[in-house]
Amino acid sequence: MNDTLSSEKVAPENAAPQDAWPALMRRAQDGDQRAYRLVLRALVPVVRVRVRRRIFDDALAEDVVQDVLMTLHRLRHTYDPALPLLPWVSAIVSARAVDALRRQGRSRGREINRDETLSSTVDPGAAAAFDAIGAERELAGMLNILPDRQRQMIELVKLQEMTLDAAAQESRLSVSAVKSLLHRAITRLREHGKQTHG
Amino acid sequence: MVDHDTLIDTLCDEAAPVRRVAPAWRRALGWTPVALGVGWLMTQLLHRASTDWTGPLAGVAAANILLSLGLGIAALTAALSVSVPGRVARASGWFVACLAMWLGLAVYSIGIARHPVGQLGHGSYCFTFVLVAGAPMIAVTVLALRRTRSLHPVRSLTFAGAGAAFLSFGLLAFCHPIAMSAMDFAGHLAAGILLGALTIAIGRKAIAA
Repeated sequence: MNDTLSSEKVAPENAAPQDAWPALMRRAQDGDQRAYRLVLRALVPVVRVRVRRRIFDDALAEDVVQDVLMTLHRLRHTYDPALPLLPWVSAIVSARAVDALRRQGRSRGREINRDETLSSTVDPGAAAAFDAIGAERELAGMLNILPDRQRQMIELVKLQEMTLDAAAQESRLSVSAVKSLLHRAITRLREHGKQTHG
Repeated sequence: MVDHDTLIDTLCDEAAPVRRVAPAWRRALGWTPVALGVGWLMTQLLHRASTDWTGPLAGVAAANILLSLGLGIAALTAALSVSVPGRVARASGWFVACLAMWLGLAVYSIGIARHPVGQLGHGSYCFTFVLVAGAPMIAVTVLALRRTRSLHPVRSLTFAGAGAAFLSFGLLAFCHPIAMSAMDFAGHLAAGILLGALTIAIGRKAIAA
């Protein structure tokens, strides 16, 4: 009774009716690919409902639905068309869901979720990343002392590595003006560096 | 929700006609002669003394053979049946009755022995015989189960192992004195349990669906 209700509830309107499934599966066993496509598409919502009764993780549930479809395909010769299809499908769903939960349990058993060990874990890339962030902040601080035009020239020519011509075009200035702005910016930064670092 | 249409299309594109599996009892009846044949061939390597068919207790030996073979076929049928998704193996009344009669015959055989308890090591020949006869039967049952594979390999192989064990007991009864000691019977059972364990160990991955 539950089987019928659940499949009626979830089956799309254009799906094959449930009482046609054994006949479609028989034709699929005989090599009728269209019948096979119809019955598999009709089964997906039913399988999904049954899987979600056991598995609450959406991604894992969809993996199991896929696994069930592949198992149905491998074992399609074991279905007896004289019998209803749903008990056969349910047995496969049940076995695959239990397998997935076991696998998930095993992988969780191997995982370590301890915050104190996580913070003390040595990550060789972390120091370099922190250094890069520090350098970026220092550079931003230095550039802030420059007037807008001079800062723009430093960003274009030194940081973005544009040519003087390209920087002149980008800023709508002459090349000599760009050179002059760069020279002044560098002189100012050098003076600032002498003052702050001795 | 994930769209599984691409997978369905792939599966449908490669869906060739398949041969439906026959009922489990018919497959069991087909595989049993093969299992008995290879088991009998293997036991030709061992020295065999024939059962005394002229004695007054020949009926007990015949009943033992029939019960052992019947239980072996039933266990093999159950193995092939539970390997199909959605099928279950229920212990029917006649199966339980046959098992009880088989045990009853064993108790009777122990009762009429001159030394009912026996000695340690008594029955080592029977132990070897059951293992030698049952070893090729393991391969046959695993081969039979590979046709359907199984969602519950251990369950299917437990029945298959029991089938191999009982068929081996059937072959053993052709060359075993009617009276036996408890140690001898324990040797039979130990060999049967070992066959079951070997069947599970060997076939678990081979028949997993």
